[in-house]
Amino acid sequence: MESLSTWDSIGTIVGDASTSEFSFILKSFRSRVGDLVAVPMEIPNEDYTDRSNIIAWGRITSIDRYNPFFPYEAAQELANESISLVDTVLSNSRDQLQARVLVLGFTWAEETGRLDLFPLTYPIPPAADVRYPPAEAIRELLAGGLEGQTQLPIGTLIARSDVPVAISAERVVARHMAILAMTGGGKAVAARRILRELIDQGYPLVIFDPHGDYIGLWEKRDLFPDTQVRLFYPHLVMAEENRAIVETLIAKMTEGLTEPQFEFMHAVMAQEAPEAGESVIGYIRRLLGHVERQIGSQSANSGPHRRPTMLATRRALNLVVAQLAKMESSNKRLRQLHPSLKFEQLPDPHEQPEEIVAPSQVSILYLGGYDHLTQSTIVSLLMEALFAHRAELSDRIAPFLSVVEEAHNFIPSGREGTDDTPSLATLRKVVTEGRKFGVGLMLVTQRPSRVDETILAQCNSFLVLRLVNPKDQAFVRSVMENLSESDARMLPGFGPGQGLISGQAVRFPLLVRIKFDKDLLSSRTQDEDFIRQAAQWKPDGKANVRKRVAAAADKLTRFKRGKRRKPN
Amino acid sequence: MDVLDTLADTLRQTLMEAGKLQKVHVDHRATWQKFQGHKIGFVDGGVANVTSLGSAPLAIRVGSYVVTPGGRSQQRERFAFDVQLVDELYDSAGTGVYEEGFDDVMKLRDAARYCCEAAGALAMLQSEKPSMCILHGPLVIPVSPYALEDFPSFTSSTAQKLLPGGGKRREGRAAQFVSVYREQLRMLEQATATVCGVVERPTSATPGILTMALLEQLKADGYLDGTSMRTMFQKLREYRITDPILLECVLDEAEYIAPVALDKQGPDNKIPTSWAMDIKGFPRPLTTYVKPHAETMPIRVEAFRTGPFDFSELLQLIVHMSRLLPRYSFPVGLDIVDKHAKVPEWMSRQMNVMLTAQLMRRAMDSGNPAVIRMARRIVSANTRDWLFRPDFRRS
Repeated sequence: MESLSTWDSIGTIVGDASTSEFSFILKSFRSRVGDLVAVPMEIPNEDYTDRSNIIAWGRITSIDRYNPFFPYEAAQELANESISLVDTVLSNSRDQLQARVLVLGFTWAEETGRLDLFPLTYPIPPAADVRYPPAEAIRELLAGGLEGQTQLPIGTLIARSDVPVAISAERVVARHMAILAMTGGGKAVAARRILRELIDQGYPLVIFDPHGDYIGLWEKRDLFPDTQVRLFYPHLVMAEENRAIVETLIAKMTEGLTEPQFEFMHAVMAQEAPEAGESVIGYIRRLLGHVERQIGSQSANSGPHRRPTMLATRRALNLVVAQLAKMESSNKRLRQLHPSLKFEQLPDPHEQPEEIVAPSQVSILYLGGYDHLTQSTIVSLLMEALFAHRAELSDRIAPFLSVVEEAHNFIPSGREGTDDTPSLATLRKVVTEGRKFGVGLMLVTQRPSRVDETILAQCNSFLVLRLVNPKDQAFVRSVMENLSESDARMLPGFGPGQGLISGQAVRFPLLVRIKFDKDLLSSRTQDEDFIRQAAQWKPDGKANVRKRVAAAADKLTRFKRGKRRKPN
Repeated sequence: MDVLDTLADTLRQTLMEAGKLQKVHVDHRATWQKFQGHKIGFVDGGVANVTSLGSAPLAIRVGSYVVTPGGRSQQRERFAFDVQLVDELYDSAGTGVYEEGFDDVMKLRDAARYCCEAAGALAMLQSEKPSMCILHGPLVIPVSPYALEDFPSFTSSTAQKLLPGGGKRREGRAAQFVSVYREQLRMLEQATATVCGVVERPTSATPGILTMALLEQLKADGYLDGTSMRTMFQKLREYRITDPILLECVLDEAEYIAPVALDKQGPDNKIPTSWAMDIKGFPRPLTTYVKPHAETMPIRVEAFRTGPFDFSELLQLIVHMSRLLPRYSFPVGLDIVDKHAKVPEWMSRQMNVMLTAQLMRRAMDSGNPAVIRMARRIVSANTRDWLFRPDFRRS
């Protein structure tokens, strides 16, 4: 590392300085928000007999710029007269830049190599010199925090493209991570970047993909020759422990059952036990058959259940079957739109979990076509089963990381009135106990304020990209303990792929620019060009037929039936 | 109000008849186009507010701001401190400034400030060679109040600093304020640039100096007779009507009076005899009042005759610069240099601390309890301070 004396001096500390923050007047064009800066200083040693030289490190969280020589009222005159400042005698060269810095800690001045960072317990000296550390020094500082850990390079510092930023793989997979960004903020890019690095590590991944954002990983599987990328479509399977799923589906997809109707349902289910590996829709059809038989039997009027009860239950089951079938077919149609993609039916997670979770395997479960409730049910069933395998400590499946896209639909906040979303309880269990059993979560959402606060707060690392919605910003502040107010103010201003990473995956909060893996981009994830499509649109082949028939029907409506003649 | 109304109305009508009421055509684009590429310099002085000793000026600095309208390069603007004096400016040998000598501290401070500002203008003219140099304040001040027998001279080193390129070493009378200031004005008058001073909110209580000069000129030009002039003089004095008050009523927006060469040194009977020759030789700046904006008071402009711009062009620039500061109506370049030159409170505070420490150390070194007590009193500036409590004194 270059000698401290050669580091550029970029400003002088002004005002009160503390152990946690300070301000300095910055030389023009010498630093930016997000930059790491250093202050050489002395602190007392442990027994207060001597002093030690240290480097206090900080991150610039905001820079105020003002021109003390530009009178406010002159602006109005310039605007009114449409004249430029430089054509007058007004001044624009003496801007003052006051930067606010969040103290990150200190390292020993004489230390080289990977630097150990300690909390600063003696205040920053007022009027001290602020230095701009060279890239090498920052690299050493950042590397010091990840010593002995697997590093996942994710990009560079926003302000310094010569300083790479890596996060701890161990902390991400075991202690959960949340990626929060509005649409277009770059959350899929960020998630794919991290996943790519985990794929290189051969770490098992299970991705819940409602919109096909991760199908690109399957398309570009040649980039990962040592990894098997599998694309699954959902297949809800019954098991003894998830019988309640039928009741949940009825409750959510219909107007619900009355108490007598529930009693009748339980009686039918007691007589028709699910078979191992039987699909949910198949089981409900079987229940329906049983109900039909009951209705048709002579005892329908004399048994413990009244006939109207049976008819109402049949109607509910029919509705569930119809909706499930519709969603299955919708998912199928979506899959058929891309015949080049090789989808597999999701194996039974109870019976064949190793087909879903395995080292050097990425399992992408495509949930397109299903409504939120069914998607949630699918996620719940799958995660319950996989978590149970890990919790049994049977070593049947390896530790794994599951990626939950659109997390606000799977772990909705209580305010959303969706407490009984099936995946909520499952993911709550995973987030609180998963660390013990090697089940990690990566939550990805564009509406953080709609996510369950407790679950989100359990994530130990956060990557927050652009967030404009004030509710989301406020929520993120409440969940992330170490997000400063100035950091929060930056959230709406981030460009695509720019954000703040914070938590255990990094040594201290950093402003990062996520590396964009262009080669992972799927052709399907591009924005649809509807303008061009509309311009090129032509009626389908049957349009003329429809028109002809409609004209005929119109003509028919004009015919009035005359009075029937009486037979002679 | 009736007197003021009558005087203003009469004066306005007469000035119009005489063609002495002029108006700047307000047009920002044309004006700034005209001054494009011309270096314009502004000068102002700042005095540190050193209060603990309550003595003569110890810290004065003169700032300058030079700007080229229309410039696009890094060199468009330049801020500098052309004169910085942190010292005893006056020669305390012999009569002594702080001991039995001259005790009107305010006069010492003002005299030093005027000289420093003029020195700043000279330094700026030499280093930057602007087309125009505008000072914050009067271009020429009445010097009689400082032409006193016991008024101390500047030290020769200070005099040298105050006259950049001024040649010979000055001592005694030649280093006295009147001599130094007169030499400074002579140099400014001979400058190739247009040199002027602008005074905002003139506070003089003296009734209409410029008005009287105007009336005399109007009389000489045959626009009024001697009786009328004397009546008007009398009313101005009787009702203590000053130039700004009267001209506020006379002038409309962007109007100014045709400039009058004004003798700022007052009547002969007020000039000390020993300095009469020197003071009578002081330049008479062309003086006028201009009202840049309808809602604000007129400002006074004083200029020397030389320079590349004539008076109407100077007034055109002054009005347009003032309109960039519409509420205050004062040339914005002077507002900028005023902020630049102002000695900030923190600097004054630091100076006070430094001086206080030195005072206390010297008092302690003397070992004289009475001196130490006095020093404490000066330092604390409050006899009820803990330092003066009986318990403390006993210990």
